[in-house]
Amino acid sequence: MKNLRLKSARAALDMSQQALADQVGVSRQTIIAIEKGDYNPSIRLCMDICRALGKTLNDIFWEE
Amino acid sequence: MIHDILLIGMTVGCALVIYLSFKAQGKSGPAKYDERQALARGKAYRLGFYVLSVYMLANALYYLMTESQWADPVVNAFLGFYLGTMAFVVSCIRNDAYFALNQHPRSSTLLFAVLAAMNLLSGLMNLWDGESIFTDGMLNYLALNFMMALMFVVLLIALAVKRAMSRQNREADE
Repeated sequence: MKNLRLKSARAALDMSQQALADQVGVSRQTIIAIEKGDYNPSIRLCMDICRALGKTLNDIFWEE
Repeated sequence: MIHDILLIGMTVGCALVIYLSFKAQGKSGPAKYDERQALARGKAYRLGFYVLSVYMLANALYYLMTESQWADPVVNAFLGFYLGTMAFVVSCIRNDAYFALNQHPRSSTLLFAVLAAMNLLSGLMNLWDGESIFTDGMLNYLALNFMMALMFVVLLIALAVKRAMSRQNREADE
């Protein structure tokens, strides 16, 4: 399932996929795969992404 | 004499690969892959293993059915290695897991191109000297240069296709 909340949280900060990837320490393709729903990140990676975007796990990754 | 030259060539080739691996590591540290890449590489290793296994089984079946060999033992062994390696590398390239986070694709691409050209040139020089890649109807070790050149060409094509697809998808992904 696509992660549109991640995409919109990133867009709200005007952050590119590459910038988020660099900040989190993964490849740009990994961020793409997460946003497309092709890859389920580990909890650690989820937390790193939330920290980079200033959001909580509920905001971005937990199902509503 | 020819076997000595082959052994020297293989030794120099292996030494070069080991030297280049350590040199590349020294500049940017050990290769760093993210968790998705590590997972993709694990699947690629498995694919390479399966390809090698199928090749070996097919080889054994061919021998059992025909009671003859289509290539000498050196070619047989190396072809299995080439096929397994190609399967691994192509799978990694397809899943953006071949190059580490701290690696630059350009130097590897250049290395592939140089190795393809060197092997092709070496093979052609053997043919020019009147050597044949067949001995008693079997492929001999002189075919290895062509096989290796073909392997690197396939890898270069995989890299080029992936690069073109990534460029196409870049704007859509953003």
